[in-house]
Amino acid sequence: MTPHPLVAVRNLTKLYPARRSVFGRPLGAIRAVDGITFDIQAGETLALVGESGCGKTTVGRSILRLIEPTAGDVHFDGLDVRALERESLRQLRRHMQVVFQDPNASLDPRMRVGRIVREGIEAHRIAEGAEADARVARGLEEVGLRASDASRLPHEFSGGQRQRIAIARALAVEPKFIVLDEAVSALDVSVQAQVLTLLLELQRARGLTYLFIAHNLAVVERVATRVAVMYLGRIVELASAAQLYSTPRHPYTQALLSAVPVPDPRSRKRRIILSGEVSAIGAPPPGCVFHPRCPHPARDAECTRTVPPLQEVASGHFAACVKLNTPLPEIT
Amino acid sequence: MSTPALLEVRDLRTTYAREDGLVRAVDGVSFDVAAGETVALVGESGCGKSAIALSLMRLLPPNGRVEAGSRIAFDGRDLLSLDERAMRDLRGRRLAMIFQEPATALNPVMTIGDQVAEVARVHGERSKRTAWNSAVAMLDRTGIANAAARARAYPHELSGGMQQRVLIAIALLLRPALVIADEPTSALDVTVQAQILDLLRDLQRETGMAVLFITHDFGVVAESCARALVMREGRIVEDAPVDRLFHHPAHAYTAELLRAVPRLVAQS
Repeated sequence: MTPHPLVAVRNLTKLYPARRSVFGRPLGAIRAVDGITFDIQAGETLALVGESGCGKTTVGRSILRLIEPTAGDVHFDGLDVRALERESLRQLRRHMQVVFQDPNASLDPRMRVGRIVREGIEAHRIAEGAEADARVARGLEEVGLRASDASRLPHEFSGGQRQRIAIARALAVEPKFIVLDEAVSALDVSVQAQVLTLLLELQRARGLTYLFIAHNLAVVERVATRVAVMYLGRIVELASAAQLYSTPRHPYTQALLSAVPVPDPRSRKRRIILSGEVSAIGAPPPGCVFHPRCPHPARDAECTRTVPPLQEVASGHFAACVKLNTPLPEIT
Repeated sequence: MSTPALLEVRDLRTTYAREDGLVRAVDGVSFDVAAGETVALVGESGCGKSAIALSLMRLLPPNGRVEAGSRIAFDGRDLLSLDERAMRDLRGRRLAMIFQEPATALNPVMTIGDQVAEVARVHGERSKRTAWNSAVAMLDRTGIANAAARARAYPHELSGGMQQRVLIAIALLLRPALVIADEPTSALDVTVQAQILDLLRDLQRETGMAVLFITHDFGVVAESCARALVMREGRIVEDAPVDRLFHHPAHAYTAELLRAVPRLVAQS
């Protein structure tokens, strides 16, 4: 990995405390994230993709320290995020922002849009008075809203417009890095495409770095520089978008790609139907976490014993599978 | 068409009474579904597609109303003039619905086997044992492993994908002629969605049922349906076989939606 990444994550682990059974017996810790490592370079978009319960949201929130990781390191611009005290963490938040999936939950319904966007500007003493007003107006226009929208309430806007308000709020403090946590997943496709275009334009104009968390590989392809695929708390594959989509090396990535419905009735794509569902996160299987559902023809007892490390299979392309030397069947 | 369609909808208008006035959810919609056909009803949120489903099932909420002048013929009968008793007899037996959110559609305090068997009992099966056995067989058919034992489980003990299979078992138990599937895979992960779509296709081939597939996902339309109705603001703007719809959309709105659909470029 190249030196001086903007974000460096090392062996990040998050355990949730054991629940107890109705008889008071501890049910063990839940490993939401299990020792994952990756970098994000300044100006790139790293997509973190996986199905529900894979730990992708926990990773995003751990980087921002919205939740405290159990173990591992997070460095942002050289700073040790986990070691920061309250005040320095508050200052750091100016540089790291987040946009959540559901703007209805993340925007205060009783607060006018202008105040929503302005809060961060004042909290971080970036500007005040007329200068802050001017920044709010510019910020709203930058995301495709009108300056006069500042006096309106969130419920007067459509879902896509509300997500634009959330983006304007995140941008108002001039961050370097934004975690986009399923930021377009709840939007209708036409609106989704517009918001993705906006995010790409803003990235280009401001040199932003994104961690784009999503469950849909088709949505991610348009925006990602690199993609990390997660399954049950682990990264199973990490590669440039070009490598991952054209030559996926992990059987889970391949299945995930094949499962995306193709919007073309003439398509003859072969589909891998995985059996079963993701194992309960409280009880991950031994060995490779994916082995109970793995369609790889070479799957054997070794997969149930050995936890496969993330290995470099081509320059910048990493995969965690015991059977990397046995080729996967073609799917297209 | 020479033979009458299984379902004929003519000039359907459905309104909802809201505090700020009457909302026209469905605004003069006409279409047919032939026996055994799979038709997609596709559009973005708020276009009225779910209101059509609820109008057909006659399950609109109290503030919803099908306006006079609307006609729905199903199985050669005028659905809108049936009394509630006749309608109840039809639902489940000839006309069934698969809902989007299995977690809310299932009864949390009843075993899944009882919920499937209830359909048979309501429709006249006297023997509890026969009803139970047919429920277990149907759960097995929908891919629930070890169905005889799992039938005694409660909904919360099952994953989302398994719960959706239970809803499918409930809808298909009596082999209805038409199933309305309202976003049946939207709440599921993509690998589980693929399993459920596969299952629905198999069951359709096996039973010859017609399916009205309500979805916002053009990928699902392309893979599962023969014909599609594109809706916008309560109206059908295009009604075409899927091949023509995807390759020569006649309406600008259809073309615009298709351009916005995210697709895997590297693989196409």
